Amino acid sequence: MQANNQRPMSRRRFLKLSGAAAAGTALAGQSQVLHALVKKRGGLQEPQVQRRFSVCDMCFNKCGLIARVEDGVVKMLNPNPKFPKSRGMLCARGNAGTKQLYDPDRLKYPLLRKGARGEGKWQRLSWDEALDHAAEKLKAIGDQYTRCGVLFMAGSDLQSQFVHRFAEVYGSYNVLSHESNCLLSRNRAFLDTFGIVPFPDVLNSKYVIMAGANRFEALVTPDSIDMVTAMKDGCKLVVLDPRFTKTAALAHEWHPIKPGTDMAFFLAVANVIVSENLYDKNFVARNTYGMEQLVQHVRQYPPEWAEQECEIPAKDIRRIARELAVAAPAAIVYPGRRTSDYENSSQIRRSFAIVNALLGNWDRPGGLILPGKVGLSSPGYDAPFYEDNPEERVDFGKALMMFPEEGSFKLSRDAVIAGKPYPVKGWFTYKTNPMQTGANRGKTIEMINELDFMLTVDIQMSDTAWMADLVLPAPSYLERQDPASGLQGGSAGACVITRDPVVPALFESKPVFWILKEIAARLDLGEYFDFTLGEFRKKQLQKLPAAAEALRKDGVYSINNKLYGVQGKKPFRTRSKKIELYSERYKKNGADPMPVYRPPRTVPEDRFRIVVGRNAYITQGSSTNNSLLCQIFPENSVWIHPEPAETLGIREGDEVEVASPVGKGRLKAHVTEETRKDTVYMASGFGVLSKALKNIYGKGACIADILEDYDDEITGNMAMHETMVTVSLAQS
Amino acid sequence: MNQTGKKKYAMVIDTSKCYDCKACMIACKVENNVPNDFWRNWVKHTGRISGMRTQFQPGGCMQCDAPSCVEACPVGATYKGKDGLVEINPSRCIGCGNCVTACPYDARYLDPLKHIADKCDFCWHRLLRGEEPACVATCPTKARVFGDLNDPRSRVSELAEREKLVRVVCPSINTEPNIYYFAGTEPLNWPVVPTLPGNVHMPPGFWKYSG
Amino acid sequence: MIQRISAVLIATVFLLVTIGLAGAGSNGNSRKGKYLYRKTCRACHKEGATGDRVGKPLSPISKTQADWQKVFDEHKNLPCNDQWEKLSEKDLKDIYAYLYGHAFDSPSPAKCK
Repeated sequence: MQANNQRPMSRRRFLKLSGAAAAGTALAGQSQVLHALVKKRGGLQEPQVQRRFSVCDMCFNKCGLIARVEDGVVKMLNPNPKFPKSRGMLCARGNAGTKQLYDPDRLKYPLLRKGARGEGKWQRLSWDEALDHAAEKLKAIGDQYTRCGVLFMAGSDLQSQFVHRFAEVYGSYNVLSHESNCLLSRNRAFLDTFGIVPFPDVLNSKYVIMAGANRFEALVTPDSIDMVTAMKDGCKLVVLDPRFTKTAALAHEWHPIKPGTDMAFFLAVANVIVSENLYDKNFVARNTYGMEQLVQHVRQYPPEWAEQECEIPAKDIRRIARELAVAAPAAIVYPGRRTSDYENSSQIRRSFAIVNALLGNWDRPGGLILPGKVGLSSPGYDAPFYEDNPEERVDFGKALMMFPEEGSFKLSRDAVIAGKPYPVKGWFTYKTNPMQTGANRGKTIEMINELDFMLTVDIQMSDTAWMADLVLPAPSYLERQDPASGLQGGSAGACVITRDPVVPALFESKPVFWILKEIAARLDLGEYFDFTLGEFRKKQLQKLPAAAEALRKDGVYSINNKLYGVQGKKPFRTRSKKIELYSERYKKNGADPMPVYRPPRTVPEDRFRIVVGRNAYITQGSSTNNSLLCQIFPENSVWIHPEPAETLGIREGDEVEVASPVGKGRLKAHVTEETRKDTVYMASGFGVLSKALKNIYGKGACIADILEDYDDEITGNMAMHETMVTVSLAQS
Repeated sequence: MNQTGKKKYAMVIDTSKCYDCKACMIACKVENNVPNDFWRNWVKHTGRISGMRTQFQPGGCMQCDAPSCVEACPVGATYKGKDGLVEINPSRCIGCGNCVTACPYDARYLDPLKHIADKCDFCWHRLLRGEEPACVATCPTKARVFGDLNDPRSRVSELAEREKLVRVVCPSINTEPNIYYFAGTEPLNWPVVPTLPGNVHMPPGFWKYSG
Repeated sequence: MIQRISAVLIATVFLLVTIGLAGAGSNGNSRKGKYLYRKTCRACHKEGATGDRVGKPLSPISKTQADWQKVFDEHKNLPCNDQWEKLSEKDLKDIYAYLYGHAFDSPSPAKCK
């Protein structure tokens, strides 16, 4: 394996370091794990220091880092200042990456379930035994139920493409990612309006509205950083959120919008922009389809009407619409990321997209810009075709316009439980944790109980791994070689990234690429994995001659793509070749061609709508057990407004029960004015079933236990803000 | 190693850039191997829903020019040392804890394993390597700026020249801290009145702000 | 009157055909089509293809749905028509479903991997 770029310390720096008495003093208790894992160099010799590039994997953002390695131990992860997307930063999670690497709770060798599912009884296997077992089970299911009888699900990871490749050559169309529990609705809406999912040029914007996005806590690079810089340069930030998030706290304006009514707000904004002729007429005439219909359509949605729905004063809606128009085209209705919230999330985001179109901000500074062309080659392969396979995915046709390569976790799960349209009896998961993130955990367990075989590859014993039959240990991002990958950075430009091991893999952990290659060989599919990662990467980079050297020298290869005026006179990738304010395709597929407002479910008197969301210290279910991060955020609580709390006799810190029609959880109450009276909030990642997550087991409650599983009717994306709950003092 | 004369290290913080991501806190813990549940730096904030914009305010040991911790140390283990830093000599420290309660910023702690006082030293070992303190290097928005106030070309001197800077001091005592904040970003009046042990002799003028 | 009815009828039939073709699985099998495309067409139509016959690199996303329809309507004029003639009606429908369903302006544009 090619060694990571090494930069041995100069003699001079080495000597300087010797003068520092403080350097290298480690605490006995803290470094126990490290001592157990690496051979210690004897005596008082100065440590051998190396600095190695990598890319963070504590969330999906992939920020650039330089690991400081002393005597083979990763001591510190420093930001890579040359990395444009992260602009030379790491967040709390990024800094805590060493504790993922040296986590005593990590999976260490293959484990086979012995007791009942979820009982936590395991038998250690050798890799050969584990791989033979996996291959045997996959073959048996394929033979008995067709190859589509195995469902594959891979999270956001540089090696996930190999899970997709494996699924395809094995012969299953049933492939899911984390996306149908996350951002599909935004993608659908912006793709269907503009023909491509754009990136917001926050850095150069003069006016940003964030609705249902919390960029100062749910960090996205470079947007979170750029928002601060833009604000220092005079950009105005308006936040619509039922919670007083940190984004709301730092915004110029915060409007505690009634949850689920964002479309009313933006239709009214469109109404004002259209009726007061504030839109970019040239742009709209040249580039949009359906303006006449839109003009008619939004007439029914004046701000005075919207005020009744979203509880934001009409005068503010009118003012904000005018301010947006003045700032345009350097003005953005922020597209957002996680949009798995309502049954009409795609249509809600369509209303965001349409207002952006009226502002004429497409392809212009401070507006919505196009992803850059990266130019990586994708080594092709000729997957076999299995004639006995069913024609389609198991969730096919269950949403109006599902992405055929993404599918829907919720709808697939329903199909597995029902055994229709055909039985699915195997599940392969890699680095995704639907037991924590997929609403209605009871149903996920029901689904798992339908399976003959479940295989999970992960770094730690997640709740999903806890339910599996076979658990295989993967190395952390600091221990493995990865393929190259294109990374979009909006106004920071696109770049190419990759990873090489910063330190060798610990324990018996093996990358998923190796695991799949080994299983493929056992299933006579070896020819599709007949290469090393190094060879694969070389092929990927064949048309980028300067990339390999830049990756070696700087840890990143910047594309320096043109940011503005990229669309030029080229047609939009839509049916009409224009921005579709009105979508014939939606009409044809049974969806509203323009977003039609439908009020959200009413919240009964004695109940609350529950909303979920991240903060800057957790990445859903994957980082809460981190021994550093759990010192900042040791458990979740339920946010409840003081007025209803008083009625219910709930005080700060009381143990309460949050219950929905599908489940309940016990956790502490956080009584705060920072949420609406009709809305309660919980962070994800707690209430774990896995006793192997020792830092957080027994703490807080799990959102997936409480949330009902509604879905976005257009994409099948999970709708996680549609659940009404009761909150009561817990009976001891 | 200092050819240009004496250094005076300081930090200038633009609190309007901080969104409380706590990257600085974790970076510090990793870089300095700070024991569990202890911190060498922090992010304070103003009251939340008040109609006013919330301010998040990062901080740490202020490396004061008139440090009450130094006065409170009975054995001279903590002292105003090189380049403006308040230092601790681990071999002299007896772990009495006087300095911990003497700090108006609550910046010190007793290390439960080493049984001595500890605190931020602006990542002295990183400075020796020519690197910035970990909290400064990792900050997403570069709200923390670090440098030598005696060097007129440093960023901190530049900011001191250009911006109206303020220091956060407790009402009863001004220890002349070396972390500066941009004016208009509402630093909080949170420092506590230090409590000093009765058997420690305090020089006249220590309580210069006390009424 | 009769003229109008037939005009409407023709339009309706046309619409049905278009919808039918667009929907994966309802007529052609897009997944089978992907396999057949890779097997039959890609050797000449991939990046860096070599050999006697080298075509333009193609992927579903290289053309709009209307363009793909045109290609299939007029394949007799293509230099590789001899290859087309070897494919069955069903195979062609499957390949069409794949290319049309993932075209440049389709709801799920795709490259051929």
